[in-house]
Amino acid sequence: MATPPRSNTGATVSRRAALKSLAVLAAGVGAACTPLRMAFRWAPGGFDDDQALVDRVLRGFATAVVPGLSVDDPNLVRHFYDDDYPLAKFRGYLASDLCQESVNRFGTPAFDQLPLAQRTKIIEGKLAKGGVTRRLYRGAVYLTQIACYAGIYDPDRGCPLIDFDGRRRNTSVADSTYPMPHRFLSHEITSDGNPL
Amino acid sequence: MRTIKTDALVIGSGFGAAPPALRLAQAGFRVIVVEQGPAINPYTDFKQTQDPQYILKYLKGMSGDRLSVTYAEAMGGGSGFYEMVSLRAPSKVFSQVDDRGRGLWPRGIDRVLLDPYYDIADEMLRVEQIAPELVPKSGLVFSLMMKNLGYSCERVRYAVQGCLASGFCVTGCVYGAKQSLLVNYLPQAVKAGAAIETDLEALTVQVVRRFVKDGPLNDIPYRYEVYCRRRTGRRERIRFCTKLLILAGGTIGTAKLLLQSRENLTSLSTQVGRNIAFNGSVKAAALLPDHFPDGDMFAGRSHPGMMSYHFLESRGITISAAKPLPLQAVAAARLRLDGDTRTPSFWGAPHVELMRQYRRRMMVLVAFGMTPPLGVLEFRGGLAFDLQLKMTDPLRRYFRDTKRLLHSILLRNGCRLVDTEFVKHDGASYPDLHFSTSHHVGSCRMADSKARGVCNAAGEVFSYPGLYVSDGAAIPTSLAVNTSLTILANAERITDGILRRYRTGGEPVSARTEPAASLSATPETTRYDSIEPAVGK
Ligand SMILES: Cc1cc2nc3c(=O)[nH]c(=O)nc-3n(C[C@H](O)[C@H](O)[C@H](O)COP(=O)(O)OP(=O)(O)OC[C@H]3O[C@@H](n4cnc5c(N)ncnc54)[C@H](O)[C@@H]3O)c2cc1C
Repeated sequence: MATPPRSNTGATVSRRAALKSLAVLAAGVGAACTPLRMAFRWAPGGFDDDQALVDRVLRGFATAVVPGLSVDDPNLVRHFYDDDYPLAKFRGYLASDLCQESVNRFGTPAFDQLPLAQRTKIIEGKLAKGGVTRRLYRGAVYLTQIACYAGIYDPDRGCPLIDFDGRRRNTSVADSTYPMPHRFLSHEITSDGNPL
Repeated sequence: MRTIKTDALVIGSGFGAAPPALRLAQAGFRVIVVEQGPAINPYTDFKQTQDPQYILKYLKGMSGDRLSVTYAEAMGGGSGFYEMVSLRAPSKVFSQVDDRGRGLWPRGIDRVLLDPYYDIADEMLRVEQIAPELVPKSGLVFSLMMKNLGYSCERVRYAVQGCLASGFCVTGCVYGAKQSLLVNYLPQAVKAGAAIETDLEALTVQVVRRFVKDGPLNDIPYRYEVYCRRRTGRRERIRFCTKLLILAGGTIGTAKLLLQSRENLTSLSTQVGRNIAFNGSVKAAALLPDHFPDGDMFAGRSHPGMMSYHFLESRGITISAAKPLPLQAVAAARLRLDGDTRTPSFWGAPHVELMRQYRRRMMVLVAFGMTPPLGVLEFRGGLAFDLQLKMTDPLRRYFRDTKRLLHSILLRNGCRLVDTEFVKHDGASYPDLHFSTSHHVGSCRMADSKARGVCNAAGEVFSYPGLYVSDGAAIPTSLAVNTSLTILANAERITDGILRRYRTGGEPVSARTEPAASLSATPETTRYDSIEPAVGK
């Protein structure tokens, strides 16, 4: 059963304090220039204690962001545990926030048990909020899409959902083109492909 | 700190660096190449993966609100990761003018002058036009669209031999088919005696004047000191003392180095970091209509093989298709089917529906155009830089009109448009229209006067004899085609000029090319012939 976020000492973390910490850290986003670096670098307490719960909730989140993925996929939420990505520090907070919102909206903390439409509503609501909440959720949605569609943890498998077959084995040029290509070609105005 | 003396120090190891490194070494100069990125063995180090950790090790980016640029930091510069498109800039490019009607290229530099150097570049990279039987499906489908509308379309030229069509050009070719600089210029340069130092970043440049009668440039003084820091291990610091200094750190890297050195190089042009051209890159996407055959975003070389010059005369643009791998697509843009009002739109079920069609039914078009050089790299102190783009009404008009043309090509073929909203590194969308490119040039452009550029037509920095810029930074305008071959050809030309000026004997450049096949595979860091005992601290 999910509980509201708690500090390491067991005291409930004030939501305002949590968001304030996030805001300070999120202000550092500007320093990152690569498209995949996100700035959230604050670790909430409490929720991190119950790994199984956090994992379930995050799986509920990921399958709402990319419906059609298997909830049992071993790589589904790995990006939330990967210290190379800033969201690793926030997985506990994110999970607790999702559960809290689940209580607020649907009277149950079990976010992961909610039907897809309700999980979607919760995430939409968070993205519609301003400031740091939106940043956190936008970052989480973004990284989840990247991790899943690009199959970043399994180069051999890629992402079957979108027919991305990952690393190529036994590549065949014939598979990548059509026979009788002249059917497709338009008239050319150069002799060698270089513009004049 | 160690001090190392050399005749020619080349900063960077990409397209602008390779010709001076090779030709000067062949002419008997002591040459050292300083590359801040890691060494790469093209036969063992590349991976077919979408793992951002791997990709970000080599590919870097810089974003402002209206412009973002991507470039490589690795041995070979962009050549290890590029899509191998190797095209000459159209003649029209060289007659671009600024808003006062003044030519943007220095007098005398045009396609005719560059053609012999393009020939050398073509030969070195073994550039060939793609055969019809090798054009990937997405390229054929794009060509069919142009054909349907009566527009011409060309098969593109590539630096590749024996392509296996695996579709991972942008993560480096694991088959060794790509003719990157790692398999021709750089190993040849090493063979000719050049040393390549990797993981070593040039931090600042300083002027010195020290006459020492040594090396082949006996009567030329040591003129520049370059302070470098190793990026790995104990962060070793090295001071290079050189007679000729050739900056080829790329459009961003070279400008950064000069901006960081401005206190020492007080007579530099005020144009350093300004006039960045970004090749007017505009993109549009759509789903193919049912009667069209499938494309394929993932199989076949990363660039789909076809480009249209149909609108080059009338609008100054070229159009091609693009095949972004999933990481490139999802990290760069939110895709949303035009007119689909369901929420959520850029994630959740509607987004998955669209992504499921991405591989076979999505067509992405890209236009490159001769947009004016309005980008600016500003030094904010310390290590901080800002990339800005001055937005003007003509530029907005260009963007709108070009997008409209791309949409019209897609719509007249019966496609359904896909809205592409470009996003920042944290997933937020850009507030205004946004250009993103890896074909940025011009931050230290060649010009006829110091008031208008950083170096002269010979690539020599105004007021600084022996200091050259030979990379994308020197190219004054957008090219309307991919940039690498022009950078390479121009670097060959600049090097030819250096050799003519400082030659100590030797043959003309064109006679010294060796076919790539005969070369040793792996460039390695070599010993210096010119290492001196540590001087100073
Ligand atoms: C993914 C991708 C695909 C591309 N595809 C194509 C294509 O198909 N065709 C095409 O024509 N163009 C392509 N381009 C563009 C092309 O790669 C660039 O135009 C070209 O690499 C620029 O050459 P350059 O010499 O100016 O700089 P680069 O090739 O970027 O080389 C500069 C080098 O200098 C090093 N450096 C910078 N500063 C320092 C410093 N202070 N000290 C030491 N080293 C330093 C950098 O690490 C880098 O390795 C592509 C680019 C990318 C990123």
